[in-house]
Amino acid sequence: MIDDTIEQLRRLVAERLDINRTLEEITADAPLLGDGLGLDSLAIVELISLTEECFDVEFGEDELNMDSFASLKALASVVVALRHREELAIA
Amino acid sequence: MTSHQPTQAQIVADSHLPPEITFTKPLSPYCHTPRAACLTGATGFLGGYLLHELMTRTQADAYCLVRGSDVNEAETRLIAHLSNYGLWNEAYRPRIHAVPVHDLADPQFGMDDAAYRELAAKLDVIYHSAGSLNMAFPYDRLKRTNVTGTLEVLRLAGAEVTKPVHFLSSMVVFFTDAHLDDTLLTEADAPRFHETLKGGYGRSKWVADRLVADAGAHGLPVTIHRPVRVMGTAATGAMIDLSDILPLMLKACVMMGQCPELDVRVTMVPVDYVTSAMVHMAGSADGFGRAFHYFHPNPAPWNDMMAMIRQIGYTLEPLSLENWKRALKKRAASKTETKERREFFSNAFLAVISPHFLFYRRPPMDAGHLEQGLAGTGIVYPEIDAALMRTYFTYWQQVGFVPAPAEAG
Repeated sequence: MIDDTIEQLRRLVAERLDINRTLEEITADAPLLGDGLGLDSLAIVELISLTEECFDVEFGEDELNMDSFASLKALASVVVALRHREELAIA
Repeated sequence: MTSHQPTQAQIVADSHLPPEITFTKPLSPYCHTPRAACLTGATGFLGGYLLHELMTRTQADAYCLVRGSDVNEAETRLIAHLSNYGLWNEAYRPRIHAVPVHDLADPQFGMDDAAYRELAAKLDVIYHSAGSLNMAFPYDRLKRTNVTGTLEVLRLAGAEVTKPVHFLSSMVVFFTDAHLDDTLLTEADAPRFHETLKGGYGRSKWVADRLVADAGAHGLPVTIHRPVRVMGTAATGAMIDLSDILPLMLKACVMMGQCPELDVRVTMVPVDYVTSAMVHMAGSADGFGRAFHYFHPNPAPWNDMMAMIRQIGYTLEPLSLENWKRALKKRAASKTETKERREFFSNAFLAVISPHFLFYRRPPMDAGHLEQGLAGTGIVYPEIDAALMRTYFTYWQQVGFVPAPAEAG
């Protein structure tokens, strides 16, 4: 499940964010800020909005910290946890 | 969770002084009343005030290590920097020497042997205030500037003649679970590493702080100065770099017309209090080997600070922190906001979710050494009150950082 989520996030970043990186360069482990994927603060905010929209989740107080945006792998695990929590809430 | 986060063992290993750095040369006889003082970070906020204090409180010439390749260009930058804060005085010119260096973290700062040895032999004391304050970067990114740069400064301290190092650290080195339950945190306490030390900034400052202490244990006279958040002076409020979480959050609040309600106290110290105390303590005979803590004895409750800002004329509707963060994120993503405003809201949002210490619960702290050293000097901190907040906001309005109350919200 986490691997699928990482794949979806990679495509999201490549196709929807205005950054100069090819899909191959967008790796699961690359830091989102700075030397890695080079996202600025606007792009991070956009990535949060896109992620919330695509995965139908909402980042709360616990998820809104920089650890969640360390890399796409980190972000994917947050998304998986949020979706799991919502499934529990529905069930 | 970061991709190449160094382990705790690696970080602790970085805090030990490498054996090739030694302090076997005789101590400069002028170390308390220096003829030549070296200053790093002079083009930074605190460094600029430190240079000013060196000019007014000592007779020393200041050798400022400044990034660049050209002496004239570096000198012009230093003068412009002091002028920006209203600190420049033409009489300083013959006493200020820009030393252009490639990078503080390069071996010998990238200087050739002869120039390095000449500089090392001339200096009586070093003030090391250079460092990166970026809160969003991981340890690996800050290590070069904050750790390797400090190592090179310690190497310089032992070269040709031993000269004391007065180091600008930060109280964040204590803000971990290792000290949270201390009954009283004093200047005699050594900060212990704990995995709860948040972010690359705190970790790199902890390593540098411990490196300087380790140099002290190996015979180098050192003092370590640990302020909390450093803000503008009570006289002018001037601050050029407003990327710290507190100014960013206050600006976001007045622009949104909304503020979080927080059960925290905001501690901060004005820059001139720290720098005048640093230079004073460096000149005192019994300071070596000591740490000095700079925090406000009477920090303002956050909600009181919001009331002070309302008194200036701004509207601030109180929200829970979570709702305020959501509102801020919404502004940052809103297509009805201008690009400029969205950029600001994004930066503020990123600062709020980055590791910072604004909301950190602190153990009771003590600054007995500093108070004892400053007794009778007239170096005192101003109250954090409505007048101080008005000074800050007036300056921020003048430089266009915040809108006037009529245009805000």
